Amino acid sequence: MTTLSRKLRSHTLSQKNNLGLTSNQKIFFSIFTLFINISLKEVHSILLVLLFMTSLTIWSGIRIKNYFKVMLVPLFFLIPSIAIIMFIRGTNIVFTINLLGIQLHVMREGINLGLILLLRALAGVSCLYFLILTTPIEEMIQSFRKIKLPNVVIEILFLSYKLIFDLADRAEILKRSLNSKLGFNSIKNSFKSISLFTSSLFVNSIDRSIKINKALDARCCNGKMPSPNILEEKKGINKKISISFLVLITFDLILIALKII
Amino acid sequence: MPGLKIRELSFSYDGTKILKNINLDFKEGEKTFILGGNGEGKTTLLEHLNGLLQPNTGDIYFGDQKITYDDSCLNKLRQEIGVLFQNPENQIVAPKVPQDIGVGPCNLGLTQEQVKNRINNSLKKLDIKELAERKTHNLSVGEKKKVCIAGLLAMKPSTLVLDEPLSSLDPKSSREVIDIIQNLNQEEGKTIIIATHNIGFASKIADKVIIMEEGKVKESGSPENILRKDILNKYSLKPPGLNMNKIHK
Repeated sequence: MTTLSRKLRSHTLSQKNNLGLTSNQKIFFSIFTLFINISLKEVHSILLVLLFMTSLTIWSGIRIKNYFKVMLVPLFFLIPSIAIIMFIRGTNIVFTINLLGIQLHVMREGINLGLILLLRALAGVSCLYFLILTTPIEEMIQSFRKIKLPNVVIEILFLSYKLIFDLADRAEILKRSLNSKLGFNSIKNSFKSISLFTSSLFVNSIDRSIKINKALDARCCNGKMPSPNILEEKKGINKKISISFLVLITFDLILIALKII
Repeated sequence: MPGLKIRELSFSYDGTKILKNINLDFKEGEKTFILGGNGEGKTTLLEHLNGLLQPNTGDIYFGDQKITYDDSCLNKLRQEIGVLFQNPENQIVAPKVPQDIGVGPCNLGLTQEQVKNRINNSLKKLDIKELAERKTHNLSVGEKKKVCIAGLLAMKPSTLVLDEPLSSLDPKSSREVIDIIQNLNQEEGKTIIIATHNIGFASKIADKVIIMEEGKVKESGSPENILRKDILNKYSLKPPGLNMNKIHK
């Protein structure tokens, strides 16, 4: 069975480069766009970033269905936070909810701010997803080494990468196992299953980190991860790469112009 | 290529004694099988041989040199003694096959060219050149085991410590792994130490068999003397349906 984590791992290792960009260019473009996105205030500009980055990621080869599945992850955290902002920000009441005799007012300013925050966060995530899902991990690490990012950060990135996918695999296995035992057939059972799922995943993450540490120790690791890009060939920059990169930079310039206007 | 000696080794974890006064000799070029049921201390013993665990009491000698657990001693030991974990998922650390095989040589501080040579030699030795372009997460269990063995060989060890090398393998992959172990022993003279509860496997290639129970070495000797019905029954090691008449080489 091909799981979502397996598909995503294939993407993060993929050599497919539909856009013809180097990893350095992708890192520069996504981080630069992320910073511009943080400073944007107008909904239409933020929407433009979200749509553009989403289209780029999908054009790079990731399936739309998988992309929207991974987009659900930040939404899980964003929606509760934004729901609270709608109640506590502003003075103009739009409507009132009666919750067990307590009047909760939803404010116009809260809705506006919540919407902007939601879009900005999603646009920011889309910038990072573009980088993560279209750049092989080893190329990313190679680029980080080039820009002299501290070694400890690169090592944490590399090990996190391995652990995240291991955990994602484990999560899918646990979910299937709980499903087979009717773990989600009622709300009460679902709560019990989620608590089992979370604790098991936590214990598993510690266990995995111990085992990875042992595997590295057994191969003479002295606390410093060896370069995983040992066999990577250096790729030349062709004309297509430069044109693609120029198009992307033009997009960033348009965003800056929109912000100034 | 020196042999390995274990003297009065004991190990406890969380107050539970896992290994109790182990005394063993592993001669160079010999294939030693450590048999025992689950939870009898086989894996813990193997992890001591590579210096992954340090005994509470007792010593391990590699040749005449006592293992001191300082960095330089451990580095030397881990170059000489390669350990294969039971679950290959726990051993593979890099996203691509050649990168994973190259982790050990990189840690030894070899040049890029030397690392590449070692990777290519390991792939060639195990006849898995077709895996050179593959990603590690897409491999089957058998292929993962072979990649892990290739990773060990890239370190050029004199001794291979293998924990359940045939677990989760189909008959074809099992045969291939057995052939690889045989070749490494016969052609390169590598010392092989294998922990398993697969009696059939031990009877095929073992030079020496050790039986462990409750963290103690209970029996040690030639397969002819140890792999007998009465002894295997005594330690509940005889699998159902095993024909004892066919078990010896």
